Amino acid sequence: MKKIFKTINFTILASSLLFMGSCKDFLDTNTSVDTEEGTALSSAGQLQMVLTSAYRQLYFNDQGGDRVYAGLPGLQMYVDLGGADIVSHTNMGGNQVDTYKYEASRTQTTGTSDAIWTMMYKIINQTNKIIHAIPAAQGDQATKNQILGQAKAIRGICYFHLIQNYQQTYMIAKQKKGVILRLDPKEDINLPRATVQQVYDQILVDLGDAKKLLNGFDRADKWTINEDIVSGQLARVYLVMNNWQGALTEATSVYNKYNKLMTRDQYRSGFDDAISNAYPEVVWAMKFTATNNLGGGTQFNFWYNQDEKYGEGYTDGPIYAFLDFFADGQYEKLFEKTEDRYQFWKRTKNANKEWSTKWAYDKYKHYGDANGAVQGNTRPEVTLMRGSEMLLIMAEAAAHLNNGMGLTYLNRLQAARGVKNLTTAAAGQNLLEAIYVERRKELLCEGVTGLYDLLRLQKPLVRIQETPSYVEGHYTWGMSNLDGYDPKSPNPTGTLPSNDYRFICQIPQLEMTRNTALKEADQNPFKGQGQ
Amino acid sequence: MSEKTKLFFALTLVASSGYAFGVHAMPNTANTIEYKVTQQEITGRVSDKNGPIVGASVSVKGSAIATYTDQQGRFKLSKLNPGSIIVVSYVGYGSKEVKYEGQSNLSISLDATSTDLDEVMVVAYGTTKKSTFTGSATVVKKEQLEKIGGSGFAETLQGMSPGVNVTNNEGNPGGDSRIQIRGISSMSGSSNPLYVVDGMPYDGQLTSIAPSDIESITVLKDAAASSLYGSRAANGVIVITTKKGKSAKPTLNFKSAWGTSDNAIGNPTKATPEEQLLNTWEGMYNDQFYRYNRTSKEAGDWASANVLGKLLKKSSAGVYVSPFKDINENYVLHDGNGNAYINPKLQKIWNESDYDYYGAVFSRKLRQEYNLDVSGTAGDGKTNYFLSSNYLDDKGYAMNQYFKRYGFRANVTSQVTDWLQLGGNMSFSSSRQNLSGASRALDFSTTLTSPWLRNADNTDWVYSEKTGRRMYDYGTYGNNFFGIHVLNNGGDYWDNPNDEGFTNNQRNMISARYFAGIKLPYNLNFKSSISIDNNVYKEFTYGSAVHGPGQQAPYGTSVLTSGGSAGRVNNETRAVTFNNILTWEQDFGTHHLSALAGQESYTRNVVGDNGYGEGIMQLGQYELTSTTTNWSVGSYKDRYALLSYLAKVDYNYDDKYFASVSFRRDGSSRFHPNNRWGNFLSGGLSWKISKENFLKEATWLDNLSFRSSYGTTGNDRLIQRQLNGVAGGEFLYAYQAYYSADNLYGLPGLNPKTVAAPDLQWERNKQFNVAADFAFLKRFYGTIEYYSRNSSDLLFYKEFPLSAQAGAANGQNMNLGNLQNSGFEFSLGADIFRKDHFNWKVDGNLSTLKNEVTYLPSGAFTFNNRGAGYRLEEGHSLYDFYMVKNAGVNPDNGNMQYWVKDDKGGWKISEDYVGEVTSDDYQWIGSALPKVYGSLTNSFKVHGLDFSFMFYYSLGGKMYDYSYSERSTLRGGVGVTQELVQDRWRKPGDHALLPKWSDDNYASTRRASDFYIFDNDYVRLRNITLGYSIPKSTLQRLGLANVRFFVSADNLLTFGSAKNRYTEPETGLSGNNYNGNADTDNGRQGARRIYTGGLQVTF
Repeated sequence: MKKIFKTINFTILASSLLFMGSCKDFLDTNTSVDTEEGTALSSAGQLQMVLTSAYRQLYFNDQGGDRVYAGLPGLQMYVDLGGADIVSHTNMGGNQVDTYKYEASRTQTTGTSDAIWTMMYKIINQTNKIIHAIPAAQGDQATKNQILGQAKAIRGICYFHLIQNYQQTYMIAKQKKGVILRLDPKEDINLPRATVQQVYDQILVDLGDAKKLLNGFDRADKWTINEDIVSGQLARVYLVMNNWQGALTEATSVYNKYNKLMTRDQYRSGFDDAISNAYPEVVWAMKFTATNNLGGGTQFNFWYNQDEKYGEGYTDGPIYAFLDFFADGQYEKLFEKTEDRYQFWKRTKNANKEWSTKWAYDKYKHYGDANGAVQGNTRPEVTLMRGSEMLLIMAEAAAHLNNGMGLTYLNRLQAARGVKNLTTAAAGQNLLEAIYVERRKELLCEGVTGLYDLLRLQKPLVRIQETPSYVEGHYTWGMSNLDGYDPKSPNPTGTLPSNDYRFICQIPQLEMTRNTALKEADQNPFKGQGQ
Repeated sequence: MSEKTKLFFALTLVASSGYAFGVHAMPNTANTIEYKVTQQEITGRVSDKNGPIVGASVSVKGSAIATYTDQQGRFKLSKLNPGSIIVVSYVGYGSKEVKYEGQSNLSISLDATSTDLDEVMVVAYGTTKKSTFTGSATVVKKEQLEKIGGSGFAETLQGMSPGVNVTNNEGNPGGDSRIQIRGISSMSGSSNPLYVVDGMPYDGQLTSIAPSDIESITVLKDAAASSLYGSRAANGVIVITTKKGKSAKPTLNFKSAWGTSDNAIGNPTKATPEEQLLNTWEGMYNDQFYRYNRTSKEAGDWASANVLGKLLKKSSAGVYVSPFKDINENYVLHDGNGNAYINPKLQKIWNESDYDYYGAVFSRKLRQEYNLDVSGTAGDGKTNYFLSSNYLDDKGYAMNQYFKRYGFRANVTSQVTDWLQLGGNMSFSSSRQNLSGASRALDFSTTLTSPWLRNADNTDWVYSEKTGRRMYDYGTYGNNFFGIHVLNNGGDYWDNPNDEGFTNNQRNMISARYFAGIKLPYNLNFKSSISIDNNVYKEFTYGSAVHGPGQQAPYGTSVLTSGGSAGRVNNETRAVTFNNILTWEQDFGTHHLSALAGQESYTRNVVGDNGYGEGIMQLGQYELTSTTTNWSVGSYKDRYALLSYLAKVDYNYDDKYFASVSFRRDGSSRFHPNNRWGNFLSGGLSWKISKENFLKEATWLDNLSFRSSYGTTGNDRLIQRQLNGVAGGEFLYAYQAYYSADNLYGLPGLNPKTVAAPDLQWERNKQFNVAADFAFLKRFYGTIEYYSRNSSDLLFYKEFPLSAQAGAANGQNMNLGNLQNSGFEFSLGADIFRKDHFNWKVDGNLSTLKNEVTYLPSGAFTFNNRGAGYRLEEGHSLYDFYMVKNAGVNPDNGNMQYWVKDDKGGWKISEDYVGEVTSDDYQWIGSALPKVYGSLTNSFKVHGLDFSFMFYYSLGGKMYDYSYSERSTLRGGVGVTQELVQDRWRKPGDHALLPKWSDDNYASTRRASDFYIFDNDYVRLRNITLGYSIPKSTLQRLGLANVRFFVSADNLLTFGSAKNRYTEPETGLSGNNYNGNADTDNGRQGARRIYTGGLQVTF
């Protein structure tokens, strides 16, 4: 017995000693699925992966909001829903309807003023990590330059979207508070708003650096940012800054490489296969795939765009058609019925008058992967920059420079689209107005006209509501938050005055409360015209 | 680790656990224990003035020998040393100590008492007598638990203990309950306590333990009671003790119960098809007449002409498919003055059940439960055993949901020799759960359509060619289809003839506990225990390949274009606890001293994998193998570890003054090696004032004692608080910086996930408790208690300013902010009648809770969750509503009005919500957390009948009734509850509750405001039970010990205003009932009424 007793005791003691011997290891644990930060920032190969993830955020923002906040393809809808040319039904409620209605969702507390802010800063801070780590990282200089160039380009693009949404346009707001300039992952998390001028200076530095670093970089895909995309982006920035020569130079350099414009058949077949069909005028495009897919939330599904033969229900066709977006009646009037871009028809078989009275429009149609059978998956390719846009930038810049080429460029596009009555105004406001109309006609829902053009050109938003005699106008909910709207007038019209702060987002509440460098006085007004 | 350090650790262990002493002292003293004394066998009998007491506990003080009296009140003990103290105790009686002086036969009589002070209760790492305990704890016994017909013990705890707030907000069988012990002490709102089963921490689903296996549950509430569990006790501890063998004769116990269930709050009734047409017409008319200034006639004509198209779309046969036979004229007519009526020519051709969505989802189904156990002792009480098996099959109320569980348990403890005790407890639990239930589609459906598919000319239903059952209609004829069908997910992984989608899970859990207790000289005892909880979880999901939008003829056998999808989640959790505890106990005259020291290690390993694929084209196949496209897979392993040292000293002078001190040191793998260790200390005092001489004369006073404690517990569980205020995921590697995989187009990507936090350290929970226990006139008893818990250095995932976030790394783990929870707890009881054949007992408890953020260095902020607005600010609770206040409906135009600030700092009324309401106008509305809750129980015994009922109440909380906002607003695709919308504005001058309906702009008629916040006071008849036991005299002839028939009902009645809105009052933590429950957003129904009846037989 004594022996047994001893044995038991010693066994337990020995086992606990053994166990204690490894106690330091015992409390050390590690994740089995993630990479330690030191490794992730150590080499060009690893930083390329951080960059790939930044691209994913840029195109999908799948950690953030959905629909209009789903990366650049979603933001295209946001920009254009804020204009006058799209009519949005409430059938599929959500942030695209709020955007259309000018709900008070751009305010700091009640809305989604954080959505664009967060989307862009998450990408910016990720590129900051790359930009900060690349000098000391392992790897050959050429590869490092390509990574750095793309990171800077992405940062510049993100700041450009931010500044357009969080302050009035550059020409009237240079010294106003812009957005927060974060350029270094190590700096204080509490930073004030930089001026609009400072933000644009940084955008030009980033895009300028990127252009140099990406010189000669041969990209493998349309979604990878190269020198051409950077130039096109610079042209867009110069347009806002009214640097007409800069805009003309950059746009021309891109257009010269992407000047074979889409044919009538290509244009009318929808934009869904812009990459696969290798349209030569496509400078920049991304795609939805089986592995990276938020395709169901893209404009391909929001437009009521499928052929009538599929039926009028949202589940009848080859994809989910959310029966949401239509073209406005005023917009339809801008087109000649014979031109290539005339893709409007009314859905007269639909029992619901809210739908049957509006113009369906199929510039965007994507019939999914089911070959026309009902309810396939939507995995479209989305165009982010085209030669046509460059041509229109050239026209606008040339018109301002008054070098005689403005009309030529405009007519070149009009002719390519089968327009019969070409613009004749050779210069001045009439020409500029014609170019603006052409931009709307050519670029609807490509994320460059709509809200952005209204701000840039300091134009008011004007919407005309449907009435019994004008059924194809805006829905009442698209009007009720606008000024001057009287539902009882014969032609109910609503406007947002030019430079109204309702176009602009307020600084998000969680930025205001968490960032100690911001005071209440730093907030944008919610409404009222900026000076 | 260097050799030197190893040696140091070894020595530390030896010293701290007292091993050195044990090992060296043993050889000299073992003999004396083993052989010195003479031992005898004795028998005895325990009785009260009415006769023998069955099942009284008989034990020998200072040893592990214990037995229970048999049916004749007899017991037998052997090998007893003269001078041993025999302790006899029985619930409801004072315990008695008898010194054994060599008698061969003992007769012991017990006196009934109203208190259970001498009762032994299970506490941290041991047991104690209630009278000597300085901490705060509540014991819930099996008799109380057995009455409730839930799936697990957690839901049965509701109302059983003051200070413990249990919310059963998932009514699906097998659903989880939310348990809060003395408030919420974390910023995330998470409040899960530590569960300990038979002395070892338990890692498993709460519903994996069959309530019938439980002997008692002790809830440890304050620091003195729980701080021996150190870091794991921040949210309190629930100690579960399973049943053990008691009597020498094997006892066979059989219980079966059958029943059914429905919703505790009845389902609402949707507007009839006629009402739905008229409702929509009214909204359309209002828009045309009031907003667009048309004449009454024009507005009416327009509404009549368009109302059908608003609700329905024409079928391919060119008719409107609805409950009515289509006529070629307007369904709704009007008198030209804004009054509409149904066209008398309309003829209804469907039955009411064809468009009764609630009826389609809900039906009463069988619930059955069987328990069989055998228990007893052998070897003169030296070995006790308990073997049980049980089966539960609860089919719930909604659709195809169910929870089935098989449970087996074996508990054996054996006193092998005088100095060695071995014991083990092994249980296996296997459960299956089907999670189909109620979804938000129940709101988003109108009676003008049917859950079932109709043919295009509205003459017959469309039947599946596979099963002959009606097909479901996915918005074929109705506008505004929600996208999800009310009967979505009605299939089952194991039995799915109709190829419907499903979500099922299966859990298999083995829970093993084993210990060895060794008696050492000098009154020392050593106990070494190990436990392994192995929990295997599998989840099976299937998206139907047959049913869904886009389904095609031939129905039931043709597969959707993209096919079906299948998913599988597997994970296996293995938690291992190993502890070694040395205890010592010694009397020095009237001084009694006991001490405990020990060491414990804990690891939890989880390995998991999951797979998903789409494109199942095969009928009747639900495995990943059948998927053809869009695969995704994942796998992971996680490990968490904790290392602890603990010690405790209890002192008692003359059973009058008590003091205890405890200490625990914990090291956690969640913190950086430099900040890994935390020390937690607590102390308690108690004074039994009724034992003082000056109260000797007061014979009416049975007991009066005061106790108080103070101490700290810690917390290392870091749970993210999401933007909407709801608890998110847990950080296992809290101090480390990581990037996670984030691939694009097949290219590898890395996305920032976490930010390094090397300074992160333990969260501290300082707890103070003061209490008075009293009993008088042998009839009344109770406890009054006050507590205050101050949680500081709260572990918080502090989010950065939005502009400083990268990838998923939104912020950094840190210690930030303080929270205070405080409250009073009253528990009072009375034996109103205690006669031989009539007993009436009343027990009540009441708890108050004040939850307050006391320090928030990151600054106050507002947040919202599904319409409800809140603000987190110092001086307010974690979930205080903060919204604009509504000012009623304007009688002139029917618009809702709101209180907004005017220019002078006063208040004015505005109708312009969009333009004028800003966060400046928000006001504090109140907290979602109840201020007072508790229960009242009445128990009666009349001859063989027993009857009891328990009311549970919760007062002072508020709720945001999202469901009500949906059921009371006219909106495309939503069928309102007609009786809730009668009081609405219809014409100028109406003083109405609800604003003017609009069809164009429903949102303007239901803006988020305090309009949807309601006082959520409620009282529930939690349980009512009636039982009848056949008289013992009759049973003895049959050889049975006990036969009892019973009927019981849970949640039979609910009182409170929520019920009037068809709303379940038990909400998620944040008080929002979006989809039934905003915190889990699971679309499941609220609490159920469960009716059961059954039979209990003991042989």
